Amino acid sequence: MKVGGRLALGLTAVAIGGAETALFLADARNAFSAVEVLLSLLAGWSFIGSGLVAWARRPENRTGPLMVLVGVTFLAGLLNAAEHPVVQTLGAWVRPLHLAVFMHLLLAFPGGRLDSRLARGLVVAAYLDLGVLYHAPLLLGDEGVGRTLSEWSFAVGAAVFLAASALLLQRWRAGSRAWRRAVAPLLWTGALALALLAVFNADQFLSRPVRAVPMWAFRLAFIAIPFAFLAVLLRVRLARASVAELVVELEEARPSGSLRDALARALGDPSLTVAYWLSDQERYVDLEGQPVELPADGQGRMATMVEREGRRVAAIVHDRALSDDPGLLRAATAAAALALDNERLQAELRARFDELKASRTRIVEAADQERKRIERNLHDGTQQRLTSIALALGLAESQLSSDPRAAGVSVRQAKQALETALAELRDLSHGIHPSVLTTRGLGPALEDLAYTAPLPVTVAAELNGRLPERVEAGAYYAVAEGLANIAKHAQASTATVAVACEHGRVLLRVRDDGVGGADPTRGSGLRGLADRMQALGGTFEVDSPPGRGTELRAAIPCE
Amino acid sequence: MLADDSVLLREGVARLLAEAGFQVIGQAGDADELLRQVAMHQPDVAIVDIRMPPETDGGLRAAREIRLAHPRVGVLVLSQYARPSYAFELLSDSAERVGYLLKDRVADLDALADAVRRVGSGGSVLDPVVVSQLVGRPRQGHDALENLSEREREVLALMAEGRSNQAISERLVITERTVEKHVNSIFAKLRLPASPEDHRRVLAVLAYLRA
Repeated sequence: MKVGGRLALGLTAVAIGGAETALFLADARNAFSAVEVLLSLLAGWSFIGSGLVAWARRPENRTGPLMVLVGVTFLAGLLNAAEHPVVQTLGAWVRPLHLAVFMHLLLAFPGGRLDSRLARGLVVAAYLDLGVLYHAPLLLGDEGVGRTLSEWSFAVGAAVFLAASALLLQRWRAGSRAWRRAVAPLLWTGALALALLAVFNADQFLSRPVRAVPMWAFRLAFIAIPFAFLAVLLRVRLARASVAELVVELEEARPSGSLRDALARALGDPSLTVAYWLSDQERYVDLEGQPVELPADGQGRMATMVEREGRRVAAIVHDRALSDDPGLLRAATAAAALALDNERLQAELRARFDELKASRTRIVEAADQERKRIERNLHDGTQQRLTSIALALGLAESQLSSDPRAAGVSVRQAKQALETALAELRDLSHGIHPSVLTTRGLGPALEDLAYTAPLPVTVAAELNGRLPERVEAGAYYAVAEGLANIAKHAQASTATVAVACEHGRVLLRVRDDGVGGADPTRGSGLRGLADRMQALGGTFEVDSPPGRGTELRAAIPCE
Repeated sequence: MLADDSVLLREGVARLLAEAGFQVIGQAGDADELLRQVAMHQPDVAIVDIRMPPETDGGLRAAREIRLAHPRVGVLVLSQYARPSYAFELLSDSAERVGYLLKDRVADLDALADAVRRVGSGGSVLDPVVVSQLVGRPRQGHDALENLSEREREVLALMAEGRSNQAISERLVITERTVEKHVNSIFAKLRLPASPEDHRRVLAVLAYLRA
């Protein structure tokens, strides 16, 4: 409804009240005392007034309209004091209905919607009870069935109001601290009012001569509701003031982590946590740099994104109840965005540091592994063979005078063992560091790799001259590892290697037409390669869709 | 003429070669000394270790300088590296009077003596280990080598090692006529222009194998 519409509604309410006042002043039947008239008008107008305020502040929330409706039905109900039979009948019918709307309002608070089946059932029951059952005598006469139904409508009313009151208390119990704090006045007054209504209905049903609770107690609670509602609104305003405090607090020097505390205080949610966004790793971490998962939708907690200059900075994980006041959240996150961005940088640094530590450990471990491998090869291969040569030569020496022919055989054996040992040493030293790489550079070394690969490898190397040694070695081992992986896992028929130097970076690409599905996070080979590229300040990517080959890409700065 | 930075190896090889009837007219411990002595003595063959101070491939540089400055001097490079790059580099301009042999071969006096003789008489030598890497490696697309018979592959490998038809016929125990037939068939199948001279033939075959 537009502002004009709401204004019209307010004026209508005033008009109805005015008409009623005139009615009472000219009251022939003396049905109401002047105090009663005054209190009734005050109650009706309070509802309508606060309703209109709420409506204006949160047009999408039905709480406002419902409050207005309570006020209107309440005032309209007073018309049953009129003399005109139609107006009187209308008033008599509407009069009890305002209690149903009132209950609807309380159960729908604060979102304006009935969020459970029980709440919806209770509200429908209340409308049917007070809109139809209660009026059975009007349709079926004062005696017999009409009377019985009318009596039973009090029983239904008692049950419904009692259940609604219990439901409010239950919500209070289930709510978080922040939520309780925000809605305390309204929820308690509402629960009390509904409980009193239940007792009143029970009295009616049991036809007790003396009421257990006087009607004025309910009226008091009823009138208190709009003010309780205003109190809730006021608390939100107070919370806004706490955002101002937050801003001041952020200005002062703070130890890390106190930003979270300040936000938790400002938003009234002690359970609040902050997750910092690392854009290059596309994940959230806490202040310690440890990975953090955001809560999934539909739980008691939710995350609000904090952006700064169009960039995602962090997410505030908080109680769902805080979303009842998006303005407050926005204000607090906007105030804290700069400070959060600073803390994000800290968190990023820590995450990087941890990653660096891990990768350094892996590199050291890989080097140790490599040393062990070389030691094993030397010990199991070359050393054994040299020992056997020494033995064969020793044997030949002893045979020399007695059996020269046998000595010749031993010497030949020694020579064969020596040739094998030499071939093994050659392979071993090549594996440690190929000489061509040192003397001729990356291009020829890659071509040598291709010559000895167990599958056809095309090498396209576009390099102008030599590159820094560590870059050449890094690139060489990246290709060697890539080709070794292809030979081991890819079941490929061909592979291509492309190396180019562009804008001060060496770009590497190793591609095959094999089965794909390589996972860079598993297997020490690719992991070690990624570490190595990172250590050179470069990047490393693996693209390996199942069934469509694998492509390794690396870029290493070479200036 | 013998150049190697390891005295032990140099002396050993010198003794072996003397045993086999060669005359070792000089020994050098580094590239400068080698070039000086080659210029002075003009030997038939200079045997050069690829690894020569100050660089790890100093011998290769020296070998190239000898070939430029003294085309009549044959150069046999001894290398501990079995990968093809260095061999191609050495043989790239001309395969005449040049050889690339794995150092292990010094243990095999016959092979060493044969290589020195071939280089000295204007031929070329490429170590069988390097050749087998080239012949044996997988190739992209349609591999014309697959059209060769087993015998033809053997002949191709021996050609790549720089052997003459006569040497091939002796090695495979077939007549020289048969070798010629195989050679013609190989050149036809690989679409290579036939070359009468052995060292040109080596270049053609290597160029094919390298591609």
